[in-house]
Amino acid sequence: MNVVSVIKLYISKMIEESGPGMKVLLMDKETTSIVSMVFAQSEILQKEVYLFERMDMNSREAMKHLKCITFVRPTKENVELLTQELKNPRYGQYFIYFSNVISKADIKTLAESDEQEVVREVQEFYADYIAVSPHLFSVNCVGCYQGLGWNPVHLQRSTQAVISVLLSLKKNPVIRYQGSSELARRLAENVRQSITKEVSLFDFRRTDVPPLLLILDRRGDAVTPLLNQWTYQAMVHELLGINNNRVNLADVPGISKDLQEVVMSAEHDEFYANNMYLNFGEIGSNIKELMEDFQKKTKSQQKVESIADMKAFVENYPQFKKMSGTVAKHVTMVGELSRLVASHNLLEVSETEQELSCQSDHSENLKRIRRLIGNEKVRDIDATRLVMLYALHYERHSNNDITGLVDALKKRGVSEKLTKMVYSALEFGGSKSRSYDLFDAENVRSITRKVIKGLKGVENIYTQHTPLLRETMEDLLRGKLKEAPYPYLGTVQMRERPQDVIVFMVGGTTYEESNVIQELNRTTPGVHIVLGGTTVHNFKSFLEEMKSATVGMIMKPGGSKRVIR
Amino acid sequence: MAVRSLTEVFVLMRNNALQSRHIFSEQALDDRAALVPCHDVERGSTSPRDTKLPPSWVDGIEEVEYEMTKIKQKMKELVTLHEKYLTRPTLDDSTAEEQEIEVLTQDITRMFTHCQRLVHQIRSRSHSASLQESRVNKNVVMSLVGALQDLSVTFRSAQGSYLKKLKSREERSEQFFTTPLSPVSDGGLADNLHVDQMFEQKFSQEQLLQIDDNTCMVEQREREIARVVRSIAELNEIFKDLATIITDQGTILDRIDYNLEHVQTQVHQGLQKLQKAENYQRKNHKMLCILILAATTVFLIILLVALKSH
Repeated sequence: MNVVSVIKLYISKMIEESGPGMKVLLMDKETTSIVSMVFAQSEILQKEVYLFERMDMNSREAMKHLKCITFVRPTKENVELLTQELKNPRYGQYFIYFSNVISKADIKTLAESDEQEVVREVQEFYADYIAVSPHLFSVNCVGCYQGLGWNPVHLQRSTQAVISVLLSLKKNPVIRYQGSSELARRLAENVRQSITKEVSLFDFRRTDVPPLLLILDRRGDAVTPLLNQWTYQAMVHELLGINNNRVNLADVPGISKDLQEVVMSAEHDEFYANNMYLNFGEIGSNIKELMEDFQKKTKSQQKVESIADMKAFVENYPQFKKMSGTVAKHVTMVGELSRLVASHNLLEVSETEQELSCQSDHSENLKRIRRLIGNEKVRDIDATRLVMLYALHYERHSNNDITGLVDALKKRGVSEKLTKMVYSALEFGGSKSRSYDLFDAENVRSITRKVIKGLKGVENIYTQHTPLLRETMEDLLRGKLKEAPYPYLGTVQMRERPQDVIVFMVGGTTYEESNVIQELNRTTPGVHIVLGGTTVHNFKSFLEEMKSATVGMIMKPGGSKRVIR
Repeated sequence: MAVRSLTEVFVLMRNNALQSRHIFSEQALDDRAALVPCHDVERGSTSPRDTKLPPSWVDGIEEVEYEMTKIKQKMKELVTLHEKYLTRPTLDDSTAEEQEIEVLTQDITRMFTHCQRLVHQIRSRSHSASLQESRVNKNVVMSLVGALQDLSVTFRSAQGSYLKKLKSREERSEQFFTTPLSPVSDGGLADNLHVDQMFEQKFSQEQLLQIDDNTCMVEQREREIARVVRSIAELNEIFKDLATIITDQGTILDRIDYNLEHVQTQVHQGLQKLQKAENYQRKNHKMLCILILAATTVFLIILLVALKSH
């Protein structure tokens, strides 16, 4: 169950099937991202693919000596474009691969337009999602809520993505969903409908324990995407933003020109692969090691006196060059992160965030938030996220002071847009949308957990919070996930403990959760979990998500009515 | 990794579509028109659009690829030869095999140079090509260079390890045969003197002959090493030359989507510039018109005034 290698296999197979000769890869916008996430250009060039084209760019000229591998999503526009292409073929042969199930009618239109018989192959290859890590996939759409319901376009896209994940991994799953969420239920039903429609496709060899598809809703845990992160990958995403493994550093002061945009891909960067899940402190020492190693190499590079030295130099040169690139990239990255941490007082902010999410000392928390709101160095969005966390935590507290804090934000000069988002957050992730209480310690298990935690002491005050997903998954793997809040779809039930689990988070997942899944995969033998989401959130994208979810809704902060325009 | 092939369905539908088109056109025929569509078909089949030949450098790719497979083969041979040579007892005279190794090494080096020249040709031949073609060309060169570089690295490491083994074996053999003498490895003057004295004093004619033999062998080895080193040095040149072309792996330049966006923005910018230029030109035309018209008006007014006043 490795989504990255599956997509790699699909693409290699596509290229192999067209045989030897020069090839061009014709893609649409989304498949370009899908391919780019798993293959570097130099790797594809080695497979005799010498040209990359986008379907929607019209500056193409005829090159009959090329074979065209077309890899597109089965959308209306793509079929339309492809029809035109086939009527007027620019390349010698066409090998067409759709990333998902395509209708017979579309095939017919294509067949009718292929007057010159240039098409050699038409296939469905189910690589219809962005593989971020071996255990993490994304659909890359923000704003899938529309007034707390599904945006129909995104619902369809998400269904397709989940279906293609299932097909590519060859799983015909039992489906469970978060009962409190209408969205999860609808997605689950759509997925099941698609499966029954394409029953012949899902005819895989049965395993003893059937795989499980669990569909969750972001609204069940709105706290996780609000927190500042301290593991490398999550931190980079939170503070700088990762977009398809690319990080834009153009805003960093004093950046050199070739580092304005860098790639953070575990596939092509060993240091990153080893360190992406470590926390910031550990990264610092590892960077230092990398640096020292590099220095040693540079010194040995400097003395080129004998022929043996020369030989050694030339042999190590490509490696050396690669290493110098890696070192420059990570040193810049970590430097920028630590600059941001220092200048925005993130350590203190994060400590308060963690306390807000894990402990319940109302007056103390309130005092700290007020102090931080008064602090000049703290960014507006950090102040806002503190108030959001406070609002989510103390929504039901008898003498909470949400309005007071919002007023304090306004006094600070935080824009109207952001202060309104506090109420949106409450509407989005407030207690009525949660099936499970994130903060309260009323049930027995969480009390014992707290006691144990108290005995052990807190290891790291910045990483006290564990996402709800961890608990859900642990329950699930033990076979103890209750049926009432997470019902099965249909009559099928699972008695055994699941082994292959695909989790899909409607409304987007986070790198913190990806971290948890990676940890679970590593520590529990025989269990494979793949996590997916409509997108991978940081605070900024999560704000967008909440905004689109609560557009035009009536908010009720502490009894007084407000309308968000 | 489930897949579903729709090729059969597609071909079936395509044939149906062709047939129905055919039937349709047959129905439309009458005696008089029968000849006309024939012409159409002929014209269609020889449409000039398809006749464009691939650029000449395409053949070069195949040549390079062929050459590279040959290099791979020869390298395999070389490695086996190396091994054979190294595992054999050392006392044998082995000039024949040495020569074989040498010839092979030279061959491979020559082929590398040939490949390099070919790649250069491919690169230089596309200068007159269009944007698209030059992009293909650039990518072709990049991939060939990458493959070539990988190959040369393996070749060099094979040579290097051979050299190392040869040297270590030599040291070992020196230990055995020339421990008390070591005239080659120890260059110290005092030592030499000492050894010379030893020669004069203690060694019989037979022993001297053996020493001569040994030095002979050592010299031969030296020569051999020098040859291998030379081949490595030659390769270095090629390598440096190629290294300037290749892009760094793992950087943003190696991303497919980045490069595509880049091309798109370039095209977009080009278009904008063109539009701007067109605008300028048109503005100029208008301006010219206005000026001419204004001038004529002024001239006519003057003419009018002049005529009236007379």
